[in-house]
Amino acid sequence: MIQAINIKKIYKIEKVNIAALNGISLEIEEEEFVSITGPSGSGKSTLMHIIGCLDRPTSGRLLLDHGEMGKLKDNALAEIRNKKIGFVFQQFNLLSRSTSLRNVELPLIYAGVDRRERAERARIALERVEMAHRLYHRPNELSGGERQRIAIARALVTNPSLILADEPTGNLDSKTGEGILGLFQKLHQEGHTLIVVTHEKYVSAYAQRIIHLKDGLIEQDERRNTT
Amino acid sequence: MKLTETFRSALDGLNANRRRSFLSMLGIIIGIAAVIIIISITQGSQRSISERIQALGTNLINVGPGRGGGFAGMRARALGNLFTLEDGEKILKKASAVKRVVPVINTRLLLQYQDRNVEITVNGVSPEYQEVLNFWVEEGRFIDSRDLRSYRTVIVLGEGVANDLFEDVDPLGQSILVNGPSSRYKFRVIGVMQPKGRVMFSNFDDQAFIPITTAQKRLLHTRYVESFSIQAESREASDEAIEQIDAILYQKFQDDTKYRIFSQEELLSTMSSVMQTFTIMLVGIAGISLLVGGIGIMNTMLVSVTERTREIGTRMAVGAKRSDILLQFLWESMVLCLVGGVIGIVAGWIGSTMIASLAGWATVVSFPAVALALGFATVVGLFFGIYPANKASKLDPVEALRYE
Repeated sequence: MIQAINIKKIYKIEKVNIAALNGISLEIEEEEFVSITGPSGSGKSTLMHIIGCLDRPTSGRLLLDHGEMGKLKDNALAEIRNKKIGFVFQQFNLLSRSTSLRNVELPLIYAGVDRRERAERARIALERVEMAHRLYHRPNELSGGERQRIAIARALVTNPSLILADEPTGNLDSKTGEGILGLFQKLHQEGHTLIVVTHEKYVSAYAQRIIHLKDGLIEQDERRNTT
Repeated sequence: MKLTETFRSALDGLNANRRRSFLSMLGIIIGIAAVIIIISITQGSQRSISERIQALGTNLINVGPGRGGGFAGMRARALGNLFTLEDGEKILKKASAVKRVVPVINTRLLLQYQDRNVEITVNGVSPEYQEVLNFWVEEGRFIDSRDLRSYRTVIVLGEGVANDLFEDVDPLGQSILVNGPSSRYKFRVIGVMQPKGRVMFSNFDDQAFIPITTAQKRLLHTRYVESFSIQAESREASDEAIEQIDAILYQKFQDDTKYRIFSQEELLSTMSSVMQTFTIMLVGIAGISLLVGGIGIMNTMLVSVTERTREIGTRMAVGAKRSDILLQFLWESMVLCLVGGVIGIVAGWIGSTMIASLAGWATVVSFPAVALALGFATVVGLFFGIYPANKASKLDPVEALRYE
């Protein structure tokens, strides 16, 4: 469960304060599929980074599974990212020189999982994204959709309580994008909590709940039943 | 995360850009190879110098006229009518740490055999010369005490002299003419010395030996001797022997600038301190090339950190701690330096072997040199790796992920 309480994020650029988030409070329950939308500059990426413990809010509190994140040191946050959060990026961010398997193993390496178990779990994660036939390919040998599936497998492999996706379909054509979203839907049905940041309408159509941001504030929080 | 995993990540990183890795290693390779070669040459020559000095005889102490002033001590040499045979006997009798005393006169003389002649250093010595200088006769016999007593005109030739004068003829028993400053004598060849070669400044093979009494009475008409070669009872006793000799000579001359006592030990330590200074200087120069190599590595690592900013961001996003990133990049520079170091050691070893066989210099690749080189490489890797690695670990994950 995610609880954000009056989160503000202010960037100081050349002595001018620019507010990216102006006080955001929200709660996201387990097994929700949430889409965060909004025009560019509305603060949705910043919110995602804060929820994902990559960044710290200027003020306000963030609780993940009732744990206060603001008090944690960098190393503890790295551990939270490793264990509780899986990231999916627009640019995939795979290690270009490593095979799919090795890419998916990466979070497990940092978790200190031994070699054999790592390979086993990475294989299972790759099966879940239907990429079991691409274990030893490198990213440049894969299509964009395949790369994103590898990235999703990497996000899944630690069995995180939350998967955060930042414009996951932004670099894909709409047909491939639909495939990825279908995969998200499947993961949601399997019990994962998903937050997808996007500015594309068709993407948010897959979500249960759409949070619309504007100028660093929640403009609309809409729940619907998709299933 | 385990150390081995950060190490593996580092290897992956280096592997991805092999040519650049190798080029940045080159500085280290050259620096380490230079260190190895320099140390092996200086150690090799140090060893051969000390071997040769040891070959001069065991526990050898030389007593000669002092450098009493004038150009390079020439005045003292000119006034060198200093020691007599009796001084030698006195030293042998009174100095308990002294085992043997050999009085020496040396002079350059012309030797003739039939139509051949050579001008060489002829040493007037006593029979103990062999033991004291550790230099032995190979054929025939050496000078004995009867030769000394009756001023016999007998001569023992160095190996080179024998070859020059006699070539194929057996020199033993042959007569040669020795031209003194005022007289000319027929000498009988009674022995040929073993080959010994050049030691320090004199070539023992190009000398000849006659009884010292013969040199005094017949050739030079003097009652003085030039110097003494003295053997101490043991290596440990040589300091004591020097003190005793000094006391005896001071009693006679009342002036310690007139004579000079120097031991083989001193000669050795002087030589080795000179060699050490050289070594330090040369290694210092090689060290500069290591420094330059290290800067090259730092440069490569900085470029690598910038290029892989996104990768660093990704690693942080999936749970890499700052220390994991730091270690990964530190490993990379360490691996560069250590691999470079190992290649440099091999190259240096090959290089010094080649120098040994081509230039005929003695070289010794010793374990301390190799350890020193590896230590250098490690320190360079750490020192020049820490800055880029630290820079990588301090990156802000969000900005690193956004980096294009």
